[in-house]
Amino acid sequence: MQYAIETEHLSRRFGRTDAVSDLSLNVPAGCVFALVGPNGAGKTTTIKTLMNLLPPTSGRASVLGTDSRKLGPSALRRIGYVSENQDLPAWMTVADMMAYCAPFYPTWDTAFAAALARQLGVPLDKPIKRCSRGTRMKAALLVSLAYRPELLVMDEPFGGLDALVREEFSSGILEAVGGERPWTVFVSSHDIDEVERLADWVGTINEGRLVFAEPVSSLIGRFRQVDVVVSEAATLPGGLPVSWLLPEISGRAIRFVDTAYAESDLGPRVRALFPLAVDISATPMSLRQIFITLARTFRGQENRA
Amino acid sequence: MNAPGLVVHLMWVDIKAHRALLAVWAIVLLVQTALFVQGPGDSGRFVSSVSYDIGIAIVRFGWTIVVTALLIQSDSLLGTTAFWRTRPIPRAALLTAKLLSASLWFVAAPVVVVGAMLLRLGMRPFDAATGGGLVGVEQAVIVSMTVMAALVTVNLGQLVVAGIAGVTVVAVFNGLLLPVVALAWPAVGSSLSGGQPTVYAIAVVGGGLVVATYHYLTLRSWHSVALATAAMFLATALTRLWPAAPVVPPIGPVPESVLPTSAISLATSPLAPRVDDVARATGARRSVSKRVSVELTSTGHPPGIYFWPVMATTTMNFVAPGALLWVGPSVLTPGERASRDDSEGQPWRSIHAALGDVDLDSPRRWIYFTSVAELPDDVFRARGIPAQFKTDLTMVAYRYEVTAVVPLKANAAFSAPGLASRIVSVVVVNAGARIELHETILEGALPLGHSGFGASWYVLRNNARHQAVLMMWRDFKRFSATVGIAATGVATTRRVMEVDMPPEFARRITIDAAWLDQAELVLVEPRPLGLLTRSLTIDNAARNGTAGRLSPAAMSAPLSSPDAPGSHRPPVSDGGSSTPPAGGVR
Repeated sequence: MQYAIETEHLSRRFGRTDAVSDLSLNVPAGCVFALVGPNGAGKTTTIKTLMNLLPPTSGRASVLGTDSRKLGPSALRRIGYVSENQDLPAWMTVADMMAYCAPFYPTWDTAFAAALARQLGVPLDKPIKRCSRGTRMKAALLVSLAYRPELLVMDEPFGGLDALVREEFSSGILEAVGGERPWTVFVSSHDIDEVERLADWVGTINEGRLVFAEPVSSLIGRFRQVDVVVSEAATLPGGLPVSWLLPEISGRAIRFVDTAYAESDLGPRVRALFPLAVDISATPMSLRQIFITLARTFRGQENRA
Repeated sequence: MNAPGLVVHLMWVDIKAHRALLAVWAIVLLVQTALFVQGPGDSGRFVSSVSYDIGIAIVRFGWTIVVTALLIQSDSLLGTTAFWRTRPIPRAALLTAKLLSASLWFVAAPVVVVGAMLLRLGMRPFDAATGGGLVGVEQAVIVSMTVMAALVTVNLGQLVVAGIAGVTVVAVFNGLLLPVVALAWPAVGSSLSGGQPTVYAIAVVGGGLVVATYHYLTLRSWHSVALATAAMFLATALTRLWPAAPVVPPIGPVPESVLPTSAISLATSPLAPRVDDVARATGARRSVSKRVSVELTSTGHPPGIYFWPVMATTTMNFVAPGALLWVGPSVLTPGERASRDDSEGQPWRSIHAALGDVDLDSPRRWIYFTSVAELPDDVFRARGIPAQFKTDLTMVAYRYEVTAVVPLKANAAFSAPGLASRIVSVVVVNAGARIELHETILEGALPLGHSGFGASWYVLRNNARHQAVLMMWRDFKRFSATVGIAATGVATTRRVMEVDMPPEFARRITIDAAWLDQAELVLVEPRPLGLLTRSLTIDNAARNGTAGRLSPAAMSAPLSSPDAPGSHRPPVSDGGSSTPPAGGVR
């Protein structure tokens, strides 16, 4: 499998704080990879390190086969970058910005750019400083898609956008990347709904460490909300599997999230700990539910720490 | 797009980004040019020459700093949010584009505008190019300093803070570290000069280029701050350690074919040498020394020649056993005083000789004296002990020549090296005349030795009547407008000279409409012929009176010598001895 992005034991430290720690991640070429995690998890630092905006403290990263520390103009011609933290040239109109960017890219497609502008509903003659946040993000997306990059990197692109703009933004991405030659998209976001809609791979990062990274189908396949009914009221025993998250009990009802669900062995594993189990049910979870579960788990771990 | 195309693209984008600011810059240059070409004129047209100069300097310097900073900061080199950082823009191309833009807008444009303006004002092409170039050097220094500060700041507020910090650091370096170094290593201390503007300019511009290149290619902010600080230190240290400009012009001895020198001798005038107290403050320490001044008289040469001392080494040898011997170089300080007896000082005779067979008149004549020695006060504590005062003088021999002659009519114009002049009007007034003259002068750019002491003069000459009037510079009303000063130490000024000539101006010559109608304006300038060295000795020189105090009574106290017995006539001080005896033109 070819990877658009690879990191090996990537770390980035600010003073005494490890913003990213020992991050090893492979992003397959052609996928839409969503990096999710709570605030301060290290998503933006990871992306800035990948884009050579920050040098790694240790470890290495390569983007489209180029060491991130050597990411220069030749590699950047193949990469699109959209970030909520980016300072767009505010004095320009969107048309100015397109004219500014076009000469940097041999593959700039003027017709495609015009089509994208229409599709995204971006006013070409309006100065960027007078545009709404949503329009600015769409303008940034426009000048990052118009040259058909092999890799589109987006850092929190949906933050603060209203539903309509989000829809236009996501549609624009899906439309663009779904052509003959699929692009790789690497996006960090809080917006699970958009991630669910866009991503076919997902990675979770917490406190700078990668928790997992896998195809969305695999993730959804292994996460189940499990409800167990026992014949008598009981307490939670010790030694619950680490793959069972957020276990809770209320009278005779026990609920947890199984992160290693397999239909064949759920019953035996539950009965081994709850011999009085009379009913066991496993409910598939949406991506949103999975991430809420994970977020609550991370918070609990932080509180205990 | 290839690299040059990319640089041009980036430059064009910067022009569009800063078009409003650049339009203001163009207006600044045009207004400055218009004002300069017009000249300060009457006080009614301009508030004053002071506000004119300061206003132009502030606007030009300020706008250069502001727009250069914005040019650099618009594609920030700090942080991780700049748009250009994630675009395929080679840093070398961005660096080239920024430096080229700053150079074109703030160095090349003023050079072209000022050069063209000086040409338009009648300056010779070489002088126009020199004047434009000097403004360019000055602008390059400002741009370089601003670029260094703008590289490591994100907005104008931070730039101001960085500027204040930089000025403070350099001030501490100059005022604290260098004196400490001078105390610790006297050899280094003694070699410190007052500063060489050209060396400073080159060092700052070079430093700016190094810092900018380093920062654009590495984006290491703290390294760049350290490098910029080091560059400013280095520039300051270099300029202080660079040998001072030579006192003696780089010319050889007077050729015998030009002037037989064997018969030339030197003596003091009947007016005795005089002693002034000179107080100096070094930090909190105040010292007093004695300055010995003499009026020099040379003999044994044609009247068209005069000598101007440029260097002296003086010895004060007290003959009594155990008394002090003092020897040391002197800073020559030319002074002047009015002649009360119509005696013709050397320059006067030389000017007269240059003008030919005319009766030369003037309201006043000036005798020049030279401070040949500045002795420690201790030397004079040996009061009453006879001493031999000996000073070895290096002098430049000059001869006045007529540089330009034009009819005394409105719009008559002429040029000389470093000078363009035009008569604006000649108005006959009641028993006299009022002449308005516009001058453009490139001061300080002339080669050393070009002019003895900047003593060029205007003369009104009437050949038909064999009469001429030397116009003294004090009789001109002058207004200056400076376009270049800071980095080069060279000023380009535009002056309006007005001279009113009432009958008493020329005591022997009556100037009326008929006289003026036949008159011409003559520019006379001294030309160096070569160097001459002579010694001046005063035996049995001894200090009279009280020494070592700063009091009016101690001023002008005489040395006694056989040539100048104690009961001599006190010299007449006019304006203080520190006033250079600058001439009529420059």
